[in-house]
Amino acid sequence: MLIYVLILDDPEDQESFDKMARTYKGLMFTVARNIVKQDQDAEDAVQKALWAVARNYDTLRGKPEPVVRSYLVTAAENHAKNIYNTKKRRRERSGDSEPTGQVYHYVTDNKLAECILQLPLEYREVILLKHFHGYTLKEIAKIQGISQSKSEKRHRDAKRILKAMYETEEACEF
Amino acid sequence: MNFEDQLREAAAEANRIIMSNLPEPSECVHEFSPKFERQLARMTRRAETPVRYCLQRAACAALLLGLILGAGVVVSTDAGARFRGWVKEQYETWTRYIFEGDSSKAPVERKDYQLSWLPEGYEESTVREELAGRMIVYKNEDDLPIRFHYTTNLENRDLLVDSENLAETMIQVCGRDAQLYEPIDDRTAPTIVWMSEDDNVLFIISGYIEAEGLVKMAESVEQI
Repeated sequence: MLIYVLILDDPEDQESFDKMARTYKGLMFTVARNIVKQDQDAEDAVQKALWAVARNYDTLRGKPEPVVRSYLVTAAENHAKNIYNTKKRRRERSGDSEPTGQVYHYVTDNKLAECILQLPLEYREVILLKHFHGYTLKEIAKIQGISQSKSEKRHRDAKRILKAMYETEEACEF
Repeated sequence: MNFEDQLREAAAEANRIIMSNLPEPSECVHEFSPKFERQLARMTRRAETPVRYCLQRAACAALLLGLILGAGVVVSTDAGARFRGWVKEQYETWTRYIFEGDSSKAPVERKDYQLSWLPEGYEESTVREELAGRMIVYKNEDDLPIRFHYTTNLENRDLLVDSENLAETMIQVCGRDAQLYEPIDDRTAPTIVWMSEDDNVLFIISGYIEAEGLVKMAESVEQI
């Protein structure tokens, strides 16, 4: 018996994860810092995001670079938002809105895409993970560190809000 | 186009916009703290403990042979100097402890042990039962493990320690000699190894905590 415990037990996974983490940690930090506004909190968010990614690395294996980048950005935002919200609750601030993160400048004819960008972070994430990355709600629950039922509810709520936003923008039947 | 198709198209467009608004990774320069770099290194490390505990001497010898690939001449043999009842063989990058104690003292009944003190944030995660002992893994919220392993059947067993980049110190646990292994490169978990008072039980604790915490855990071992 070997006392041998690995977070990533495949040497190839270890190597590719290490390379990926070192390539994108700065970008993840930038994204997280836009939300939490402090270096230490941003590092914590990146660290937690990378742990979550390592635990679910099988869902990323073999994905193209743009998808990996997008996934890591989403993970960093998710954990930064959690840290932000935890601190907000602790300090019992009132009147603060949800963290907005990066402000996106865009030109697009796709009104629904505009609505997605205006969604609160947690809803935008679930929409992107489900409808862009193609993850199941069970996988999204693992990625976001929530229960599957919460993931399902979050997805339902996101679609409901999205629909309401979109209908305000433009009359359209889904 | 139905809503699901619209959503898929819109999500791809939203993702494109998000990515185009972000800087290139190479432009994102931040000097991460040493703590962060340590945590990152831990995610990709190969072994979280330098100790490999072999069930059978023959298997241990074969493993050692494979590990040293002919380069591991025995540098020294240190009979009984580290743990009572054990002979230490020092290879270039490995240390092998061979149990030569009095196996007739082996207890008829198996005894079980537990840690009565854990660092903050750690909880029992998994327990692996063995014929002559048990491995209990505790984890914190970052999934960092602490491993507590003990075995009572020591006859015909060896202990292998990957001693490359390890600092080895003799310390005391409840008045007993114990071996503390601390990594120089921070890529392996510090580990403490010691024997029970009657020399019949071998204890091993590994975890990414300071040596002081390891010793405190070792001193908190109690029979169930």
